[in-house]
Amino acid sequence: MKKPLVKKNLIRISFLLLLVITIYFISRIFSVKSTHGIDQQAGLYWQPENSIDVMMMGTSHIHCNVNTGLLWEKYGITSYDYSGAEQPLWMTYFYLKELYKYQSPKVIVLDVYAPARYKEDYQYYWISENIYGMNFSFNKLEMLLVSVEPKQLSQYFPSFAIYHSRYDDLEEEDFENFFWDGNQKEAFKGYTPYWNARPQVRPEISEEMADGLTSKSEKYLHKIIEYTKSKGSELVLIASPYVITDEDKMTYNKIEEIAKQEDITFIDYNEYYDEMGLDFEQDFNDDSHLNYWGSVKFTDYLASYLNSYDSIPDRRGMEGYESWDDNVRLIYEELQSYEDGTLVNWEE
Amino acid sequence: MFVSMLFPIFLGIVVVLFFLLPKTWRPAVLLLSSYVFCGYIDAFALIVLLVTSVLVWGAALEIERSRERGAEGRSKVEAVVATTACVFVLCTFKYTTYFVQRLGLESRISDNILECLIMPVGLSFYLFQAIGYLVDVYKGISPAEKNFWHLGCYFGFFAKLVSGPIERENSFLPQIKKLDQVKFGDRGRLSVAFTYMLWGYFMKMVVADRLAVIASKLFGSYQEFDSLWLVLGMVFYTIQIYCDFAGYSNIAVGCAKIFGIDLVQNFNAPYQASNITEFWRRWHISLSSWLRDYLYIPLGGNRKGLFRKCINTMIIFLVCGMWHGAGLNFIAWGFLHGVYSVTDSLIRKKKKSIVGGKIITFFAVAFAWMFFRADSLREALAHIFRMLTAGLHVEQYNRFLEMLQLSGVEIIIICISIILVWTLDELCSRKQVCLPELIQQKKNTTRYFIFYLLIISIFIFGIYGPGYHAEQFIYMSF
Repeated sequence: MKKPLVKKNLIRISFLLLLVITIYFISRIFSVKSTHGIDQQAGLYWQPENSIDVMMMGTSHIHCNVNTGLLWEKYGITSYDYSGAEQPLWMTYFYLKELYKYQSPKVIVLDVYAPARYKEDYQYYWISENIYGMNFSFNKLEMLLVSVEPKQLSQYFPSFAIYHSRYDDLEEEDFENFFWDGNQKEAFKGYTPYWNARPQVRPEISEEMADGLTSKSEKYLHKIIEYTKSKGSELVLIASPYVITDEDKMTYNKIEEIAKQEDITFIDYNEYYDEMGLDFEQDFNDDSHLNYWGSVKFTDYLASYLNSYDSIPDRRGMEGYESWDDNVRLIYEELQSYEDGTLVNWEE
Repeated sequence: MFVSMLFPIFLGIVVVLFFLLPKTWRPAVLLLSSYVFCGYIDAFALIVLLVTSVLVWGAALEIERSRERGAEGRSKVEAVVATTACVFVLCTFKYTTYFVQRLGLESRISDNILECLIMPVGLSFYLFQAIGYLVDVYKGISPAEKNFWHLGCYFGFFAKLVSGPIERENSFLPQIKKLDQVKFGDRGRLSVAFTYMLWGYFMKMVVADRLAVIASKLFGSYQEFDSLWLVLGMVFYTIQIYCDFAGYSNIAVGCAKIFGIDLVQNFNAPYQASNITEFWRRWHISLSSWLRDYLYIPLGGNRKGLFRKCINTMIIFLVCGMWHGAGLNFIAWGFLHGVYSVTDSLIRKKKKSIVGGKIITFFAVAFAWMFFRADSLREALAHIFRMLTAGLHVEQYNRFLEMLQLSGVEIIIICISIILVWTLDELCSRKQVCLPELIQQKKNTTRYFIFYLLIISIFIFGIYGPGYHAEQFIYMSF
């Protein structure tokens, strides 16, 4: 009597296994790939555990401006651009909670452009870039509940409901997303440089008032500060260089006040254009982002500050950090392609 | 509601409560959860359902009491008043808004009143059940149900509330009374339920909703397309409405089976019928059998000669058309089916069989659906005129494909899904069994492999998710 039951259960288990494996594969293939935030978010899961010393967080100002390859090659700093387009602080908070599941960075560098520029309590324009790369967890659900109005929730969750109909748009890249592609995935550290050079007008800022931080942003800024302190990481707030406005500056002044009260560092790099040698004719992709050459200058200048932390070691030559060498190689390959005129998929 | 992401959560909670709470509470669990289900869709619909259930419950008890006391006349008056009230409520909700719009009175009536006159969810279905129940109690065919939990389930059970099937009290209520005997692990029950639901979701999400996207565009801008594409649109809508309603019915049957309740089968491969009479024995079976038992037979059926039979048939189909919606197009649809049925009766009277009966029946039904799908009779006639006179414009087919956003992969999926549904219906028709039961008869390995294919197909090719709003089940609005 027992034999048929065993056989039946074996079939059931095989069915469930086959189903789970198939769903894993089709999820990997169908998931949306994008360098505006999704790849940065998904890329975290490919990184060796507890290997990242400096986690760069915030908006596209991070993954366009902070050159992870340069930080490694010149200073031996293991960093990762864990950011997404126009990411508000409430999403950054849940990003933080996600990253500590896998990493224990010594320093968190957080760009605060989003709260300075965007004031709505729900920001939908680039929200998908900050959602679809994150694995399912209660943390992700919490992030969605905070970031999306209840009636809009089904527009963003579950992720598979959004991308399952991509069967007609699949490209070669979609089939390079499996565990056997691990080395290639590990080499991506979030940095996605722009290659245009568009002249910008250098801003003259005189704003001294401190205001303009919305209560939701302020609440999550405090939560971020508290959370990083509880994890023992140094938090450094920055505004990376761009064509800043007086209104943005007013919010930065407010953030600076909070930073002083909380005894953490805030650096507005818009006050150091000359020190880092930024050329407004050559180093910008647009009024908000540096290009590759601008990012090299900015990253170098940022590194000089990061180097003051004794807790950030020079890990060049150490075992287990080879993927940063690969990251440098990838960036140089991209530069070479640009110089050869063979670079594809970049926005002119 | 069945295609909502919340439905599996709702169903899961009801299943847990049903099997964990004391067995005697089961009718109450089903009734209260059904009211939550209805109230979530529309609070006003819940009020109408509740009031109707209470009044019909009381009316049936009173009719039975009068009959048992020998007051036949009083019992008859009560039955007539109660059934007329049901018909009145149905007509009020079905036709008031239509006439208000036709007479241009919208501006004179407050929005709140107009909102209240929108057809509540499932009303047509449970009012037909109520009428049948009151008639059966009056005739002494069924006893009046004293337990409100039980009768409430008969009207409001969530699995069948939205679009039926139209159950009969003498098959449904005994099952509610025996809910305490249902065990979670009853041999094969959950597997059958799962099969029904899976096939239902496949029909709805992969086939019906996919065709709905194209049919909507073809019907919405029929002036842009040539005859071939409009014929294709007619065929697509014919398959869409079947897969939509049969898909819903399979999900409903599957849901009910989880709780040990067998609902009636509403469909039996209808497009495999070789004449229109057979079609109506296979399509929306619970409605056609209700109309037969409570209207056709009381009118005399086919017992009073061929002429009366034809008249009765026409009446039945006109009522059927009016039940489906307000508007001359629905009456035209019913009239057309009446004409088809009368013609079929006359042909079969002379014992003539028609070559290609299946094909003729399919296209006759498909043609009638054009009246059903159109917004008005005028629109339906214009569409048909265009379909018959536009001719072929092969040189514009690339433009048509672009307008319909039909890519190569999408065309392949449509073709495969139509062939699949057609072939499986043919198979089931020959074996005289519905597909979920047929799948159940297969060996475990084969059955699980079919489950696997269905789940993966729904996952990838189902029409769901943002940017797309699932078509409401078509029969939800009737």
